[in-house]
Order: sequence, then C-alpha cells, then structure tokens
Amino acid sequence: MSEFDDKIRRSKNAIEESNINNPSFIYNQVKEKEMNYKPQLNFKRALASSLAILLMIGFMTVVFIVNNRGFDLDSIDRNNLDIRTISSIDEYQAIHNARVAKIRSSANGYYDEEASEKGDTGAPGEAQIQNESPVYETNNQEKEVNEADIVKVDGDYIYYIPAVFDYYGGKSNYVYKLKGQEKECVIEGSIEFTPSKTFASEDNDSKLYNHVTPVPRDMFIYNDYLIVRLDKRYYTARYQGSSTYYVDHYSGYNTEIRIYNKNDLSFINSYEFDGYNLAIRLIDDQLYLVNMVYLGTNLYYPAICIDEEKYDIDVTKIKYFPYLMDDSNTLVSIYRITLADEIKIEDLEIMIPNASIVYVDKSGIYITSYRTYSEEKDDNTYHYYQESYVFPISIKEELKIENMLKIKGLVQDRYWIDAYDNYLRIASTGREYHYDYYSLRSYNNTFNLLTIFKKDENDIWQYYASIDEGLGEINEQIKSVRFNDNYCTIVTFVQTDPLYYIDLTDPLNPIITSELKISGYSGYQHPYKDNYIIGVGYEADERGRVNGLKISLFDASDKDNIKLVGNSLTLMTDDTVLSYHANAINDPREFMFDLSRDIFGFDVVTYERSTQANSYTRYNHTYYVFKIDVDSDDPISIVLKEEEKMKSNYSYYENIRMVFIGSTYYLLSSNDVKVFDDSFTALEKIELN
Amino acid sequence: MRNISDKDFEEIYYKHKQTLYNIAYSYFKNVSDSDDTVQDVFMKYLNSNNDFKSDDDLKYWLIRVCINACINEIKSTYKKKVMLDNDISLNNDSIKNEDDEIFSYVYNLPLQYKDVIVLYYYESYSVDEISKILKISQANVKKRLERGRNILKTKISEDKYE
Repeated sequence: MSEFDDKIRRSKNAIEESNINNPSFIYNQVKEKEMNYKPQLNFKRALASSLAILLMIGFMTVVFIVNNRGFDLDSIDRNNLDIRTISSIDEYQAIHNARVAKIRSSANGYYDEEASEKGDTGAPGEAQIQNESPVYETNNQEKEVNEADIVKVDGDYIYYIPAVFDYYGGKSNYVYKLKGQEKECVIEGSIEFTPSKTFASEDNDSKLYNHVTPVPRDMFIYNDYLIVRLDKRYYTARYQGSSTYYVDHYSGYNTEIRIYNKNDLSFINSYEFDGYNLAIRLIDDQLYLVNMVYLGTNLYYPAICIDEEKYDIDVTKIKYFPYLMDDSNTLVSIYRITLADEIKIEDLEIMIPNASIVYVDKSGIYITSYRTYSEEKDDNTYHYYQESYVFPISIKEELKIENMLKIKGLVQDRYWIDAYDNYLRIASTGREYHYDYYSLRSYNNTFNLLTIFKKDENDIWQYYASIDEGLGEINEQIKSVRFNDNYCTIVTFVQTDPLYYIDLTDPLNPIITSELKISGYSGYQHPYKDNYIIGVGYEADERGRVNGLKISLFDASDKDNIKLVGNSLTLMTDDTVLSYHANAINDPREFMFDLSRDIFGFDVVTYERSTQANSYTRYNHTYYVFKIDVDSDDPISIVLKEEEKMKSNYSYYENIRMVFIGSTYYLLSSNDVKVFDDSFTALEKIELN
Repeated sequence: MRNISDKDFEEIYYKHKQTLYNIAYSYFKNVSDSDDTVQDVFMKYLNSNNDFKSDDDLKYWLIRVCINACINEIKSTYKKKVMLDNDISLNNDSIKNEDDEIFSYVYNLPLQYKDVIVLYYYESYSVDEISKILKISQANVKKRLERGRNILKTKISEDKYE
C-alpha cells in the first residue's frame, strides 16, 4: 500500500461524528405508522357526554349523534391561524381526506423527524431547586409537577421497574417493592405483568394467536396508591410449526394506567387510552396524560377503555387549526384524571402536525409540533424552512386551548420551554436555505432564538419579545437550556461550547450579558446552590469531534461574567474506549441528585473499541457518583465507580439507578440491588429475579 | 412492517449504521443530511419484505439503498444548492488539515468513482465485495478505483503547485 493510499484511507478521519444514535426511535416510528392501518374500533357514532366517570361504579352517559351532511373544506381559510372545532363527522372525514391526498401526492413518504431526536426526555427549567430532602426524589423539571419514573421512593420503601422491556419474548415484566432498611434491603413483594396469548384462528399451514403485552414503563406513588403506566401492545402472530412465527398484524398500541394499593400491591382499577404516551405528570391529586396517535390513511376514531369497557370519544369535540390542517398527522389527547373518591376523567383532543415535545408546569400543558417545508417563490428563489408550533393547554379550570404560538426553528427538548410569572419563554434552533436559480447564489443559515410570550388580559398568550441575534456562532445550534426565575443559560455548539447568560429580569428586553467559551458542550445543566450550574455533557477536540464525557461546574453569580470553576472532570476516549454515553443527558430523570450532601450520580455507558475503526465490540454500564467541592481546583471528583454486568446482550434500554433513604444508598439494576453507606462502602447485595 | 423485534433491529442498526453514515457523509458532507439519510435507509429496511439469505445480503442491500437514497437527494434542487454551499466552504476556512483536504476531494469526486473509493478505502471492502454491492463487474470496479485514485492524485498535486 502506497503512502498515497494511506492518505486516502486516513481522510476518513474528516468525517464528523453522527448526532443520532437511536434505533428505538426509528423502530417506534415505523411501528407507529403501521399502527395506522389497524382495524378500526367499531364506531358507534357515540358521544360520551362529559366523561365524568365514577371509579369502580363505572357510570357513563352516552348520547348518539347522527350527521350525514357533506362538508366543503374550501370554505375554510387555510391562512387563518385561529383554532376551530370540528362541527360534524363530515368535516372530520373531509379533513382526513385532504391530508391523505397530500400524503399520496407527496414524492417523499417520510416526515422529517428532526425535532424528535431528543424526544420528550427531560432537562432543566424553572428552578428544580436543590433536593434538600434526605430521601430520594425524581429529578423533576418543575417544582410540584411530579414526573413518573421507573424508580420511586416512599418512606422506607423503594418501588422499582427493572428497565427490561420484553414485547415479543413472552416473558413477564415486574414492579418490585423493596424495603430499604438501615444498611440492607429486602424484597417485600412484586407485581407481575404477564403477556397473554390466545388462539384466534387456523388456516392450511399455520395458526393465528392474539397477543397482548403489558409492559410497565414508569409510575407514581400517591397517597395509598401505586399508579403504574404501561405500554400495551396488541398484535396477532402467525405460527408455523412449533417455533417459527411472525407478526401478522398489529391491532393496537395503547397506554394503560393501573392503580394498585401501594401497601399490599392489590389491584384496584385500570384505564386504557388509545395511543402512545408523550407525557405523564401528577400535580396534586390530578394525573395528566398526553397521548398521541399517528393518523394514517384510515379514518381514525379515538376511544378509551375503563375497567374493560370501551367508549368512543366524540370526534366533534376535536380542535384543529386551518393553517396546519393539511399536515395535521397526529391526534393528541390530553386526559386529566382526578384521583379523588369520585374519579373524574376529562379530555381534550387536538389535531396537529408531528406532535413532539411536551412541557408541563402547574398552570398548563404546552405541546409542541413542527413542520419542515420548502417552497419555490415567484422570484425564482427556493426556500426551505423549519417552523414549530406550541399549543398551550390551560389546566387551571377546565382543559382549554385558546390559540397556537408559531416559532421559527425547532424546539428540541422540554427544558427549552419555561412558563414563569405570566411569561412563556421558549428557545428554538434551526436551519434555513434560500437558493436563487438565476444568480446560482445560495444562503445557508443556522439560527438560535429565545422567544418570549406574555398572557394578555383574556389569558391568551401573545408574542412579547425575543433574542434573535448573538446566540451561537456560525453553524452553531443550541444543545441545552436551563431557565431560572430571572435568567437562563444556553449552550450552543459546533466546535466549542459558548455558554450564554441571558438576563430575563425585564422580559421585554432580554439581554445576553456574558458568554463563556470552553471545549465540548454541556447537554444538561442543573442548578446547584444559589448561583452555580452543574454542566454534564461531552468533551470535543479542536475540530468539534466528541472524544469524551465532561462534567463542569459554572459560577453564574455575576451575570456579566459567567465562569468555569476550577477544572472540568473528563472521561476521555483512548485505545480501549471508543466512546462514552450518558443517557441521563437525554433523560434527566436518570440523574440522582443528593445536593444537601453535594452528591450526584448517573449511569455511564462505555463502548469498548474494536480493531475496526469507529466500531465497538460491546458496551458496559458503570454507575458514577460525584462529589462537588466549589473551593477545590478540581470541584468535581469521583467517589464511586461501580460497573454492572447486565443480563441482556442488548441492554441499550436498561440503565442503572441509584436512590437514597437517609444515609444509605441503593444501586438498582435488572440484576440486583447493591447497598452502600454514605462513604460508598458496599454493604450488601441482593439478587432480583 | 418487517417481523423483527426492537432488540434484533437494534443489533442490525449498530452493526451497519457507521458504514451507511460514512457513505452518506461522503455525499453530503454534513451531519444532519447524513443522519437523515441513514434514518431513512433503516426505515426502508423495516418497511421492506425482502428476504435476506445472509448477513452479507443484508449488508449489500443496505449499502445499495443508502447510495440510491443519497443520489436521489443530491439530484433534488434543494440538495444541489446545499452542496454548492459546501463547495464554497470547502475552498475557504473549513479545511483544517490534510485529512479534511483529501476528504473534500473525495466528496467532490464524480459519483461513479466516489462509491468505489469510499467502499474500498474507508470501509475496507474488497474488489469482489464491491462488485457484489454495486452489481458491476470486478473489472469495472478496478477501472473505477484506478480512475478515482488518479483524479484524487491529480487534484492534490494541482493544488500543491497552485
């Protein structure tokens, strides 16, 4: 091989790292789309008059409606940004037909999923102030807005769902109840979720079986209740011979809420809702669910199921937006379940394009959606845009939506949105292209924005102010955002990590007051003490290529001079490690913060390098616990590094969690529970099944 | 949708993603378009009913689909424009070292040479394998390799003496 050949081979190093590493996202997208072809529920043309339902008594008023009139869609002004309510079944059918016609006439069958890369997974917002409690709490984005999670601590008890999601293997999934005693841990009980398989039919060479797989995904503890959210998949499999089978068709992808008595784990009741869950929150005694169904080429009728009784939802209540009508490919349902003696369920449905990120605070639910589109203009220029829409749902009294908010670019994480004191602050990032056919000139631009909306006297959000210059250098896009009451910090990245401090004291006049440039970037920011920020992200070389994990501490006490405290802690790639990945950056619920003791931790996945370039042999999970000391030159230090061998060969979905009760720490994995004292000395290990 | 579990799909994804990404990057020279294309290829895989007799069959199919997806994209008006942007930037500040410089020439190679150069040099496929992937004869692969290599050599030496 000549030196020249070597040079060509080496030029592969110029390829930048991919930003996406999410097979499950692709898999679920395809699966969701296929679900659109599921056999539809029997449409009874029924109107559930209020969905006020009594738990266990099961009372519901059903009113039948008949409406066969046609509907002229051209009478609707598509430039109108206002909201409309579907007036009849025919209008619903007409909107559906128009959207399907657009899909079929489109050359490109796929939608742009860019805005969903990070998913609704979590990061910072209005001060989730430091956790001063000696008992573990989920790292919630908003104070008093509880997020469901795979682990919850209630007094001396730990409830835990090992993150093993088995949809097709026919194995059971569990919720464990563990008692955390001083220096030890015992299994008190468990709930088993067993897939079912029932014979359906038979033909010449095969048998068909219907499968239902309930998979627990996360949970809440409320009073005496353990509330578990399950993904429930329905499919029919065709079996040929004793072991060969394949999925014949899917007939449902639903979300089920099962309520148990937390003390004896006895079952109380269940509620099943159509669609994929985008968000679930518990605020006081009210459980909020935001579910989404992709609208396919078959007309879809939403439904819910209460204690195994199915009810159709009245489609003439659905809200939609003429401006977005032809691209509204998702039906989002917002449910509010009041957990009182008399259980009450309320619902609101909206049809929007590509529902994605959901942010929830005590006053409202903010659902985002986006479109990317291009157009040729009369002046022979070609334009490509990215546009996001935020749909604010008021939850103060009845569930209500008044208007939609339009923003340039994409909102890629729920921590990029924050409601504070009658203001809604939203960060967005995007790309736009213009191309002039005559001059052959083109303009390729990335942009980062902070947009502020204010509620008017009628409680309707209106545009108020924005920062559209100065955030990020050329080609840089936002990586993370953290809102605090009167300021926010924003990280952009291509090669370095400018960390911007934005003073929001005067919402009409937001100002970038300082910026700090260091290598790499923080993908998640967490407030610490009054004026510090913990940044967890990735280190990068001088060309912007990620080459390690990085944890930094920033001092934001001087708004005109945000600065790095001491040295950052880095875990660098080397001859044996190809890359590090911390899923907690994408899903901050995975962080354990014990900030009253200056401790935090998270699971780090290490990819071992193989002999082939840019590939790995296996990955390992290691739980790291860090200690913060603001006065040290190295303010972040490692106090525990515990490797866990996972059971599954494909443990991508699994992660290790740590919780604490008093001064005892419990490290939870699908294999076992390890107990540590507050100096992180191992005390005990118990096996899980 | 193909009958495959999410775990099995994950394994296939991680096995082939980097190769597909490298190919796409050699067409677009930007992360977002390359990522989009790779995502598209895997979606096509999940939506297809092709029966792959071996791992190699699957690998070759994915690469072919990826190359076709890249070509379709760059033929669209929008991508022509984006590539123009990249050409401009290549001639300016973004070239930081020799790797970048040579990659920029690979990126600018005519399509029929780019595929063989990328598969041969970046992905270490043999001439025999490339002929199976691209469904062309081994002699043709060798010819394209030789010509692609010569173009790169000429470009690099031209620039040195400019």
